[in-house]
Amino acid sequence: MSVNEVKIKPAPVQFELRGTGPPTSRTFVIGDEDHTLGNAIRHILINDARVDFAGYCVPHPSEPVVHVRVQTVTGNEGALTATEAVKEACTTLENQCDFVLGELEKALPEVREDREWMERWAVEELQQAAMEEEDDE
Amino acid sequence: IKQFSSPLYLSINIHCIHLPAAKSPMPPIPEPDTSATGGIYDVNESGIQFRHTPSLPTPANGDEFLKRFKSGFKFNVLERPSKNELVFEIIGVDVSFANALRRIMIAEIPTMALETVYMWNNSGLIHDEVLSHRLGLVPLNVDPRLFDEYGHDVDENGEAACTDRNTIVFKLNVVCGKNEADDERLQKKRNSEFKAEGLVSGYDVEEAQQKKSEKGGYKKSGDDDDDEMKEEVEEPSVMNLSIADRAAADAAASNLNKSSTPIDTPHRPFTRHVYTRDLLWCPQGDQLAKFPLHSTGVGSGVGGGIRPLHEDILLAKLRPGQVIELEAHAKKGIGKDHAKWSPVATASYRLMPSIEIVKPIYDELAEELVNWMEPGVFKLEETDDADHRVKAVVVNPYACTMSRNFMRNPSLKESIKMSRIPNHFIFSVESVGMMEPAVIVAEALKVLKNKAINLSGMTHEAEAMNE
Repeated sequence: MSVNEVKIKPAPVQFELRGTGPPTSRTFVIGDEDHTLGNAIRHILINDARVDFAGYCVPHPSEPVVHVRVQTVTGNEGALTATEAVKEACTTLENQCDFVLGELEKALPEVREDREWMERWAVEELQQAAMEEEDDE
Repeated sequence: IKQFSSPLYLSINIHCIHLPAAKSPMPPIPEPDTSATGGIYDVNESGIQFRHTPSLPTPANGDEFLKRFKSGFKFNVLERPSKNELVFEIIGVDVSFANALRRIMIAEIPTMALETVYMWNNSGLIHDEVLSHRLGLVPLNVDPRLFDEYGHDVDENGEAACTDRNTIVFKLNVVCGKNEADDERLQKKRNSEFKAEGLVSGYDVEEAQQKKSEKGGYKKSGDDDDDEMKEEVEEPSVMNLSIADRAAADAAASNLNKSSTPIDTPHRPFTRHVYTRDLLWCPQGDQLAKFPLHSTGVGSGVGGGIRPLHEDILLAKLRPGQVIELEAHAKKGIGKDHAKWSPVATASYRLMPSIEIVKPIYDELAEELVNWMEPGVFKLEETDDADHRVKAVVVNPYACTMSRNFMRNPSLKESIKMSRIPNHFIFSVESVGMMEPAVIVAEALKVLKNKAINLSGMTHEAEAMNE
């Protein structure tokens, strides 16, 4: 909009799956992420007995990219593929966050009040948007 | 005391004086339960070292991991030194999770801050870019979740549009008069013009409300209203004075007032200080309805409109005849982009120290330890032994600052074992003020959850594409 407006550029690669060969080993290249997500996901992956190897790295601090390498145990019972392992780890992380949010609400009533207030506000917004649409029509 | 010739022996000799009499072999030292963490950090003189201990076998899958996590998890609020500070502890969480929360609180929770400044006239001494930088750092008293991100609403040309849902407009229009009296006159005249234009200063409104002794607080939860009002009133009583008095207080504060300071240079020109209270909000679209000036006590109607959190942040100084005329737009952003968008003054955590007294400490040594070396951590306790009066006992490990002062005294060094528990974090969150610290922690958890959902989605897509 203005001459010297700074536009934040997203990373060149948002997501890439690297690795040929058996689906039990893959490298996940995630853009616009850093240690925040990388370490958290790695920790959950490591704490899974079906995962043989899990590691993450930030190849260069100037680039917002994180590589997560996952290798699962190659067993005989229809082994877990690397992508499935990562998806399960993401679900586990979500559940972990939900649980901590629940505990936070129990311990601090203002968080619950805040959530209820935001929900009411969201409902008001929807109603208003609906009213405006009616007005337009 | 025997005399040894070599200096090494001499040093050992000196240490021997402090050692207590040899006792029977001590029973093994009970350690904190480390099966969940797989180890403990031993603290020694040079620093910290992780020592692995036998741990539980790896969980079979995500469900078992969650089960273990939920059973070992604890959350406690420790302290609330003020409305904007929160100290709490989380137990049973890995360092990667705690660090992720900390990083998100600092850098990835969206906030509103002044981003684009249209400088129409600036004849003051502060350069345009410096003044714009200072404006960007001014914290705004508005809940960022009520606004959209800039860049999503796209107009006909495909460019991002500034709408009343993603931008807040502020105007700064100040002129410095020739002297105090002239300045007062100018202020009065311009203020009435601004009001006519519809520009709003949240602080004038509050002043009016206070005079009527209404409850014009600006927080949603009712309890905080009183504290809020007190806070506002306690601020330099400048706010309650008329504009004329304010200018006088300004001049007095500037230390250039002819009649009241020791540095009394005659013929020194008048200086006008530009504070954040001179930043006037220009309500767009239905912003005035959503952020009303007078509290309606409902939803976002908390009163005062949109304004900077603090009214007395000095932005610039002007001399007679100098003018600043600018329009500034506030947009949503995250701390990763620029620190002005960080919602916390800072968020930090430390690991819980664990202190064990391996060999009992008595008398003078105990008093020294309790009173001088680690204040607040130990306390003296009477003993029943015939020859000892007092014993040192650990009373509050939270107060330990890991100064390791006790290691200066060699006998104390042997009697105390200090370590850090790797899954017990003491967080300290200090909010800038636009959101409460508890709400910031909740938002951080939501951001982390969204990251996980995002990653899961992208993985699923990539997998589908490959097949």
